[in-house]
Amino acid sequence: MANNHSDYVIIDEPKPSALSHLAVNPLYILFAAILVPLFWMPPMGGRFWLPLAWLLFNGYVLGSTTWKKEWLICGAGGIAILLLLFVLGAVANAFMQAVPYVFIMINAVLFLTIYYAVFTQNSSYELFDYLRESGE
Amino acid sequence: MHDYRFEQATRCYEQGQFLQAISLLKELLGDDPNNADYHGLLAAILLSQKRIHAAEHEIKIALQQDSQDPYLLFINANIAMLNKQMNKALEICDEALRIDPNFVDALLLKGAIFGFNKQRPQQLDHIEQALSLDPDSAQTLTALGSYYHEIGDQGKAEQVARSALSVEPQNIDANVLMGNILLVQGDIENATYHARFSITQNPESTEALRLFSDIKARQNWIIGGWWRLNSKLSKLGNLQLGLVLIVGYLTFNLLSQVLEDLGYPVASSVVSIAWLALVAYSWIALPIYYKQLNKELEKFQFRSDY
Repeated sequence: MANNHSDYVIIDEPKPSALSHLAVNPLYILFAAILVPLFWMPPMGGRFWLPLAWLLFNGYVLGSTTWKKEWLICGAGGIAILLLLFVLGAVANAFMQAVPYVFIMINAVLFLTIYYAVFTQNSSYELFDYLRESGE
Repeated sequence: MHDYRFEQATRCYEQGQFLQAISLLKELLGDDPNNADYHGLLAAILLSQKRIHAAEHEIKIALQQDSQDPYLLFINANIAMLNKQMNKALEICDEALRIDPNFVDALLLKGAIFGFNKQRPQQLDHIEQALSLDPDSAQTLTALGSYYHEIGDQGKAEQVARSALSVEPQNIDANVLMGNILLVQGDIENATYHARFSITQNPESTEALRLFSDIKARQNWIIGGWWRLNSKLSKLGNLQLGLVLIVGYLTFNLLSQVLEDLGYPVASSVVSIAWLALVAYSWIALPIYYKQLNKELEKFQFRSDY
């Protein structure tokens, strides 16, 4: 009988794409999301959507088995941030003193979304890294 | 009759060579995808690697082929326990024991589940049942030692752990238990010896690595402090962990903003700086700690066949 062992795939093993060399540890995306805006503000509101987009791209290239969940998390987080930005706009006109508080809430939602997506993707990345180092 | 590769995979698993074992099982499953034993062994290996979701998938397939195998039921019970489904785990153990009343591993697992629920009399009862069936086993003695360790009787725990080690000096669980007991007693040197021994025998043993990390954390309070906190936080789920961190973020930042609005800019700055310092500490401490750990681990001489 032919040995086709390479056909058997364990369900939690990531299925890296051809661009897997671009995959990074998702924790680096988290650090970048927090540190980069301290020195440079990405244009077009990039500090809100760039980390989420990068996480989704990272999940795709490393073949994350939880990619659909990461999409849901980033999608829900993105919608929540958009809603809060609308609130910010409304509040800025009526209650200037409340603006910093709304901004803190927006940051909290952004960080929660990024944390949750990063920790979800991290298990796929660790396995990807483990298998890559073992030469599989 | 099993393929010789299955025996090889079993040996690799017992020796902690998980990658080799998985590779052999993938070959075997490619040839015979419905073999319950292959799926069962793969589930056991994945469980050792804490890949719970994948282990669950494999054991489900195995049980579809053979639902009356006590060992497969035992693995399924282990998975249920790790998923914190304790009642389900107990039911599955009971099913395994109905088929094989002398199944020591299932008795010990029931004991462990009762221990997790802090039901100490039931925990001890099941360990003693296991001991009556297999009194000279390092595994059952280690379970008894763990019981005494968990209830705080370190003297008795050490006595039993030493018995386990006299039966099987190279038993990793017994060595890790002894290391944990000695660590609680403050005997860092000997705890380190047992941790190092366990890791050199099986570098993939998470319990041995955790013991070694706990020892190093005790020796360096500044860097190790974050490791100990991180160990507690890692027991939370991903969303719960995120919520804890966000509560911390909101507490500091809202407090800072409120202080500024109330006319206390200095206090506001102090709170902001404290938050930044905490974040910086959490980011820097863990990588430094892992670097120190890895440096120590590089000096280890692992067993030759690993």
